Amino acid sequence: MRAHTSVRSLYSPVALVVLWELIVRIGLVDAAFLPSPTQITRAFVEIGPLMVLEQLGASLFRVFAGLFAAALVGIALGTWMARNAHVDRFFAPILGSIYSVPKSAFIPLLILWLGVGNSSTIVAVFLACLLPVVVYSFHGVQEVPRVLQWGAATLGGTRGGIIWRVYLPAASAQIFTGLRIALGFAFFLSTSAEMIASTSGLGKLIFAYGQGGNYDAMFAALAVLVAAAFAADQAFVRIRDRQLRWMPTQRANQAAA
Amino acid sequence: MIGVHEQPPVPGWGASAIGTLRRFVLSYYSLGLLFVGWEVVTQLEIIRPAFLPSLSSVLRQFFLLAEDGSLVQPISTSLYRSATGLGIAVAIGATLGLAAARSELARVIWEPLVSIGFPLPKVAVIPILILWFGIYDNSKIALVVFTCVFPVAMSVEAAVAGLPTVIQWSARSLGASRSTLLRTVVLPAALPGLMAGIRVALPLALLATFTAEMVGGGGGFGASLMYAQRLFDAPTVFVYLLLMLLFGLLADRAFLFVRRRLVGWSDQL
Repeated sequence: MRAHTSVRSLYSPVALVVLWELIVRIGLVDAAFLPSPTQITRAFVEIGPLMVLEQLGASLFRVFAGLFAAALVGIALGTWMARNAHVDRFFAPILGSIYSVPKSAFIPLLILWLGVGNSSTIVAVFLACLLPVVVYSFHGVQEVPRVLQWGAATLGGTRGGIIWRVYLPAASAQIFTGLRIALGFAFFLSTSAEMIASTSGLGKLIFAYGQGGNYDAMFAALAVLVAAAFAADQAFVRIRDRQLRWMPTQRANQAAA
Repeated sequence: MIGVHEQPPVPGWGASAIGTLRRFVLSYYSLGLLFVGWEVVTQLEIIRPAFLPSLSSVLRQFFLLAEDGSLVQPISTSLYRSATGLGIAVAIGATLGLAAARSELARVIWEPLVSIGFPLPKVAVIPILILWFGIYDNSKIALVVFTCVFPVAMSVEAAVAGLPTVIQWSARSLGASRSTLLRTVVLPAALPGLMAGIRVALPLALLATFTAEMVGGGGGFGASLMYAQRLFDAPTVFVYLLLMLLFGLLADRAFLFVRRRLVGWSDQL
């Protein structure tokens, strides 16, 4: 069943690539506007896969450094806010008002403060990832049945022990959802920051090829970024499903999502 | 959202003006502290004004820019792009979501495209969109559509797919034709999902517009912000930043108001 669906789910991307190649070959679309998949592959080999991978590495470092920091701070803050009304009342209006701000607006400011390079990009990624992690951790912990807390307390659980062994595991499905959204934001922000001002990274590479008019190479670099973002998301889903195997409702959640 | 710990009404204070004021102060004091802290830190010149201009100088700059009318053009340009893109994305996304939920063939085609397109950082296609649609409105609108179509379609699909089969059977057994079923049962059931999708898409539309303008230029809010930054005009940068914050908030509030009007009957709010 699983193998069957995964084979079937390959149909449309493969069909799309074949269709794309055909359209360009027949000349329905000008190859200058949309290079064919074979042209893009050739360009990828020409510009050097190693160089592209190196730029990819620079981008991935920024993505995961920012995401990791946001996960640490975000889960802690979300849990704290859910457990303490004073903390919630202090942070809620601040987080609420930056929730809907386009986070890339902070990039010029961060460049002004931290200069062009890793640190400004990582802080931008951190800021963008923080909010979904806080919000989902908050709701996850908030929704943990009080009975679980009472049970743990009766069995002699300490405050820290209850948070670590009751609240966080019970909220983990929500926390994973927040982290997955944050992963998407992380790629978006790091690419934006690299396109706006950077000396390295895939975003910079794509932008530079676009400006230089080398569109075959631009599509090649973009394809690498698409593959990386897709692989990261898929890997994340695998890890999440493994971690949440114990949860009885996980199957139902997956069906709903 | 956040803020489940609402202040309980104080006994005896009722809904009086003082009670309302007290609740307001208690729920927003941290923002006030932040603004006061900002002004104090900059007035004492702990931080150089080139890095962080004082709140008062930002406000002064705002009134200057508002007075000479130079804010109108970028604001209207950006809002036009966001709104048009969002409108197109809602039309396309709702259709795709509905099709994916009702037809097996549509789902088989659509689902793999979502799993590739959804995690893709959309900004990366800006150079391509500029190549195809030019540097002005159309490429920005195209990016907004590309960004917003996924959350709208996914949320409509989930809402329609989650429609209990029993309800559809009842409608059919009461003599509803396929088109009546679609019009009177499926579409109303999709509406809360559509609203949830739009709520996610709304800030994304602003984000996509501003980012596209920051990266590619071509006028609008984002381009003006980048221009001010290149001139190291920190107060103007902050004016644009705070205005973007304000627009994000206002858009969300306006949306919630409209949603209450449209789908107040739904229990999924």
